[in-house]
Formats: sequence, structure tokens, C-alpha cells
Amino acid sequence: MDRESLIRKCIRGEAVAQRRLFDSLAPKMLSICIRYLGNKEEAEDVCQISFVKLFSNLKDYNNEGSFDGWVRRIFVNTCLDQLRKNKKTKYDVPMDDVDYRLENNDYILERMEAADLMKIVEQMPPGYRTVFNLFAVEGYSHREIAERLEIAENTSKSQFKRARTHLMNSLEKLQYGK
Amino acid sequence: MANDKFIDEIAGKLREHSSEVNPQVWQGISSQIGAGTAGVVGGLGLAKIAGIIAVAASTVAITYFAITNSQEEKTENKIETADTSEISKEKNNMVVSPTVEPNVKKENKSTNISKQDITNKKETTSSTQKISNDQIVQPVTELVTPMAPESILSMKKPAEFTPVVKPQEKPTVSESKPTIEPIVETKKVEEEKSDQPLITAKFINLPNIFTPNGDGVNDEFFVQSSGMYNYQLVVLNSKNNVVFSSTDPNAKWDGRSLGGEKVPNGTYLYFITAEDESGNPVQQHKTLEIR
Repeated sequence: MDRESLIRKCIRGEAVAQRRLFDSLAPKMLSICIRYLGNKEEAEDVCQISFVKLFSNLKDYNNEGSFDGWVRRIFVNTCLDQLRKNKKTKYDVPMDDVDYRLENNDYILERMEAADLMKIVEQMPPGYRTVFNLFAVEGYSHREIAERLEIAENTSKSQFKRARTHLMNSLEKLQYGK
Repeated sequence: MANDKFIDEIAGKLREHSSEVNPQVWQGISSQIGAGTAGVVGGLGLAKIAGIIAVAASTVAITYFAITNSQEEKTENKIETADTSEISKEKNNMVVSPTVEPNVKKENKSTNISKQDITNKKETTSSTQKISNDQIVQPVTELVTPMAPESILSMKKPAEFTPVVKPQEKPTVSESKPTIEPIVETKKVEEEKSDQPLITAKFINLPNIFTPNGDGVNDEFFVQSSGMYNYQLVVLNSKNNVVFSSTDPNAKWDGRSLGGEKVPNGTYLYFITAEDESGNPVQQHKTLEIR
């Protein structure tokens, strides 16, 4: 079944179609949430909120631009909202949490490499992690990031540089960056 | 810029990365969107009922709906025509049953009333005949007595009459209800099926980290499982050497190698092979971090 008719069925509220759309999107979208939020529990919560948003706004998706892009935007925006909420309460991660961050890594061995990268990104400080995700992975410009996060454009650039250095160092530790 | 290649490569991998989704996430979503969709369906149903009532000739409207619905479904996807046409039929049945019922009831009532009217008229006519035949005082008592049996008759008549109608409507109700229920049941069955292998032989907890540093917190590594037979657990270090193995499902490892010395911190891998009650192989592997 093609995406278009699947979407139409979802709008009509057919549970089977909704489930199918969820199944096709959820694994990647959950990864996005983990990348932004740094832990799976919170990522699952945000993923759930985002999917509810997605299904309730699906009728507003008017085939302009790619559906994947539209979906990603919902998830990234929800993640950013969640991060802003967190900023007030728990910007600093207590050391005790670090152990639990490694939870749920039951990936198959072939995926180790991408999974290792994910782990590194998860463990980045939230400041650079957000900028890195937005700039490098999602392809936002520094100006867009600056507007979205209400920071200076130069802050975005320098945060990204720091994220890059952090990544390289972490990968060297894992003997990747030969 | 060579530097960007580095980032691009990483970004590409991250973009493609997907995570295992906890089934609870969907449960949370479906419970939240389920209410909304039910409302929409209800609303649509009401609208359809209203439309059919407005058309009044319900059977004609139903056939029309069935045709239009099935045509819509056909154009959408040819493969699922059988299913969707069934669904559309179900929908129509669902629509039919509530609409028919009130109509029939009304008809019943109206026929009752008309019958009663007729009987009343009969009574009055008979009474008038009697009045004309007999004298004035006696008919009054006679009038009271025939009224009672005839009113009982008039009560009986609709009771006899309604069963004739009900068999027509009941099948539609009983047809539509079972057709709805199997959909719910099959979903449950699917969910149960996915759970079933876990029930017979399942892992309750597969840890991925422990800290054998003697601080009393998370010092031992153990897998919690149930229903495992011919169980074997092997822990390998990064050089693929066995550092721990056991055939006891309740075995606990204190982080010491077979030689007795504490293994260095780092990432390890453990494999579990076992069989469930009926002899089906169960395999599991996971990385284990020691700090």
C-alpha cells in the first residue's frame, strides 16, 4: 500500500492504517528523539507526544514537500520544546544517570557502528548535542538554529565546533578515526 | 573540506539509525488518538443515519451507499477490495440496524394505534348496534364487558404482529454485531501471538551493565529468566575469550574470570542459548558493560 492512501486512511481514523504508519515511522523517529534528549525513557515519552500530534494534524498535511520531512519537523520541534522545559529543571545531568544511559542497547551486532555513534551523541552535553543534531543531521542552517533556540548565530557555530571536537575525541577513543 | 566528510558520514549514519520501539509507546498513542477517532466514527454514523432518515426509503439508500462505498474503496486499492467491501457492508449494516428499528417500532406503534382504533371503532359500532337493538340500561353493563376482552385482544394482536417484523430486523443486528467483534478479536489474537513466545520462555531482565567494585550496589551480573531449559550462558571479552559461563539460569557472576581475578572494565558480550518447554531454541545476546 502506498503512503498516500495510507495517510488518507489514517485521517479517516482507521486503526489498522494508523498502526501501520506508526510501525513504519517509529524506529527512526525514536532515534531522533533519543539523539536530542539523550535517554530512551524521555525519548519514548516525546515520541508518544509527537505521534499524537502527528495523527491529530495529519489532515493538515497537504502533500507539499516530502512527508518524511514534515514528520521529522514535528518530532524535532517536540524534542526542542521538551529540551526547553528541561533547561529549567535539569540542565546538568547527575553522574548517577550516566550508567543508565547505556540501557536498552540491544541492537544487533551489525548495527554496532551507528549504535556507537548514537551512544556518543546521547552522552554529549545537551548544549552542543542540540546544535549538532540540528545542523549536521537535520541540515538546518546556523541562522535557523539561532532563531529556533534563541541564541546568537555565532553561539550556534561555536557550539557545533565543540560538538565536532567532542565527537572526534570520542571516536578516537573507540578507534574509529584512523 | 575534508572535515565535513567526517561530519557528513556520521550524520548520514545517525539519520539512518533506528531504535527498537517499546510496544507501550503505541499503546499510549492509540489510547490518546483512539477516543478522537471513535468520536469521528460516531459522528459519521449519526450523519449517515440522519441522511438515510431524510431519504426515508432506507433500503434504496443503503444499496446506494453500498455501491458508492465499494466503488470508493475499489479505486483506492484493488487488492483489498474484498476486505473493504466487507467493511462497507458492515458499516451499512451498522447503519441499517438503528434506522430500521425506530422505523419499525414507529410502524408497530402506528399499526397498534390503528388496530386499537379499529377495535375501538368496532366496539363503538357493536355497542351502537347493541344500543339500537336493546334497551338503554342493560347495554351499559354489556358495553363494559365486551370492552375488556377486546382490549386484551388488541393487546395481543400487536404482540402477535411484532414477531413477524422482528425476525426481519434481528438478523441484521445479529449479523452486524459478530462482524464487528471479530475485528477486535483478531487484533487481540495478533497481540497475543507476539507475546506468546515470551510467555513460554522469557527473559525478565537482561542487564547491560554492572559494577563489580564491591560497593554493594549492582555488584553481580545475573539474567532473570523463566521457563528455560538446557540453559547456557557465556560471557566473552573483547578478544572473544570466555570469561564466564554457566548452565544455571540463576547463576550470578561477580566479575571474576575463570582464573579468579577481577576482569578489567570495558565492554563484554554475553550469549544465552536455551530451549523452551517444547524444545524450541531460544537465543539471546547482548553487550555487557563492566565499570
